Amino acid sequence: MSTEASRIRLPAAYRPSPLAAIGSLLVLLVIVWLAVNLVKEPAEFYRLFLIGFTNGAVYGLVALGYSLVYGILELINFAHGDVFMLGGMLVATMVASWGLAGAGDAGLWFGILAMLLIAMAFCATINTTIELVAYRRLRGAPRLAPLITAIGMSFILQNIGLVWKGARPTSVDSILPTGDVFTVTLSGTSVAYTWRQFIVLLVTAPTLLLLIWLVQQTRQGKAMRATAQDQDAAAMMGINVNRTISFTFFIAGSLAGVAALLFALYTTTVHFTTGFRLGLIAFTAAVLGGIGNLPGAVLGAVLIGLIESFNNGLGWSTPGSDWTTSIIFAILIMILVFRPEGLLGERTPEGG
Amino acid sequence: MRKGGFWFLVAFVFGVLAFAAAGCGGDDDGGGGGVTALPSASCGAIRYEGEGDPDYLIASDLPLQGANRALTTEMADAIEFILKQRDWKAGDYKIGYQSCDDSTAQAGSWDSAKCSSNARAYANNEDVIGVIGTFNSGCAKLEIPVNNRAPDGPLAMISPANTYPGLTIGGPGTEQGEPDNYYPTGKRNYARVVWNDQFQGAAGAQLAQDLKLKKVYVLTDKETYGNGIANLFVRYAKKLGVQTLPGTPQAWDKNASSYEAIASRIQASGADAVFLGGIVCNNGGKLIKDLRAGLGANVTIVGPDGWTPISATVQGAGQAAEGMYITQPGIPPDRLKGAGKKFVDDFTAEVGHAPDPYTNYAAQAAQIMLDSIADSDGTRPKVAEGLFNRDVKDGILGDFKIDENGDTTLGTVAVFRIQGGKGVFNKLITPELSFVKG
Repeated sequence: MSTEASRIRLPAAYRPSPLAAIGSLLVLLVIVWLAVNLVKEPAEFYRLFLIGFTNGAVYGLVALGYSLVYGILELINFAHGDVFMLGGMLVATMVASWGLAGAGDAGLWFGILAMLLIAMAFCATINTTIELVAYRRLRGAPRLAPLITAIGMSFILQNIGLVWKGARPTSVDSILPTGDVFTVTLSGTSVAYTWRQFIVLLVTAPTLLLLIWLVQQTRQGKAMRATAQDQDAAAMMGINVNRTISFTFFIAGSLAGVAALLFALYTTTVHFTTGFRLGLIAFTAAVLGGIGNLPGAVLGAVLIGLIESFNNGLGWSTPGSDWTTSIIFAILIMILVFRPEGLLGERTPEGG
Repeated sequence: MRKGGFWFLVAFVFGVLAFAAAGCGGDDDGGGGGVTALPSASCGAIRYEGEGDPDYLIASDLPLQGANRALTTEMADAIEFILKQRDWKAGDYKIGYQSCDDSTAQAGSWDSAKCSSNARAYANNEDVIGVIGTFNSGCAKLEIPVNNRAPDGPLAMISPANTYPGLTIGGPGTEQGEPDNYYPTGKRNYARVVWNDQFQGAAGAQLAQDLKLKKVYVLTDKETYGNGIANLFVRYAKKLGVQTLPGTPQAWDKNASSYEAIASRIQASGADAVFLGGIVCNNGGKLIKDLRAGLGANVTIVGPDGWTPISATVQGAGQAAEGMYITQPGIPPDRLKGAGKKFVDDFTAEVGHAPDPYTNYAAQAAQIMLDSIADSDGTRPKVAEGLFNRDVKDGILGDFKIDENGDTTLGTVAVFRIQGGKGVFNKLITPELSFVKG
């Protein structure tokens, strides 16, 4: 890949020092802003941290799917967010039709586990099918071609969601346990870390670790990394490239299924546009962390979750929720312009 | 290709498609009878059961898809019901009716491209003598000026549901240049049978005072209607000594996946109530769920008529909607008298369920439109003129006047409270004119 070298050693002209100074100043201002808010309203700050962290973890699961596929194919699978949305709708349907809201503890956990597996299988199947139908034949085509088909797939899936559940947001019964894991009291206000929030972390962290293990330690992971580096050479070494890529889409789809379950149960509302917006946020997160880099995707997602929550909720000199979307996408632009390799640099699967 | 360049391309393509996703309306020509039908892409077939062929068409312009679907189709049925009652006639003129849709399935509510193309279709079809619509104020902003400049003179419009003040008058809660910027010919062609949001904002503030609320946190969905009513609520609440937060109403983004952080902000502010200036379609169910979860049961949630039909709010928010207050301009159907009661009974017998309050407004709007056509010489400008300074005696909504601005003098706002998953009538509030205009 001839472009790799130019990306790793950016010429000095790409990073003029005045811009670096402005960037540092910006980061400094953000830190000061956070610090002042922390001192003024510690309980509020902590509560927002928990909210942002949890939302970020859900974004992270979606972002992993973008990052994984990008790492292998250098294709941004824009349909990924919509695969996730369809998974969420399936979960909504299952929650409603299985009557889980009234089930006892054992039944509930069994139900959640069953839904997790079904959602994963469902999303993985869709994602693999998309690869087979819309991307495989375009592998040798100019990079814009699969990108456009990806966007096309995204709209098709959105419309399927629209036909399936209609234009109104679908409300999912809240079935996660409601208790608190622990409560912290700061300056007179007690803030609870709820089981609902903890479950999100309980699913996201092992998933990330499992994924990293899969990519770095297993034979299949080795095949994925080899395919990412050079498809022709990998094929010559006896790796079944098509199967490896299919497998990657399968794993990415399963991740979307996990995210779909968590999203449906945690936020309890699914809409056919959910995937589009959340997909954009997850894509931004993946770029922020360094697209192709798995821990980077989760880091970026958690950062975006925190930015969102702090900006919506902090009290002192905060732009407020009117500006949240603008801020998130301004970050996307700034990262693309000033640091296209993302926060965690170039440690993509192809880089080792 | 350098990678940076590729990224820009990606961002650009995606941005363009994101805007294109908003959806577009279509145009094509239909045909029929003695009049030219409006395009079938937006409008249903001509409804006419009178003698021979109709002389003129009236059209209704409502969002027939999305969250309000049940309500808007019922409103269209009510208009047809009125026409049937009058034997498809307005005076000597035989009138056909087409029900047009200003929404798209994608948007799930009104769509600006669809509103504009609909208005052009009405204006350019010389058989259309009047339009009953729109449902959403934002859509009316687009349609009024197009119909105002119609080739054969201003085309009459009467809305059963637009509550944004700036469509007919200037003053509080409106923008610079309103309402004159909607009437480029200088002649008025738009009236409404529903009270504007100045009165609803005032009634909301009076409700807050009656409920002894001290600090009300105000959110808005940032649309024409939502922002307008939020600012009006703030204005009247201040006059009554009810404190509002923050300085300018805070936005909720309909595409956000969580409002927990906003709930956290409200909790930290110490507010004992939240006013939601906006509509339920903009992810309102999720908003109420997060507010309830973050704020507990003791914080009062108040919403304007954007949260109707109440069933949509209950469906979206479930248990979290319990206890929410919703104001709605006008008198509930079961409290109407005289002609109103008769209409409600007859219509209930026809469709099998009691009409929504807005259905009565649609029927009332249809009556006024037909009366105005009957009194005219059959030209567009005369029909439009006839809407104004009109005395209505024993109409469906009672006795009232449409004033020189096209606003009604009928000023009652009903308050409902969600209890047991239903909107339970709470009380009627009629703000004093001096309080609203002062």
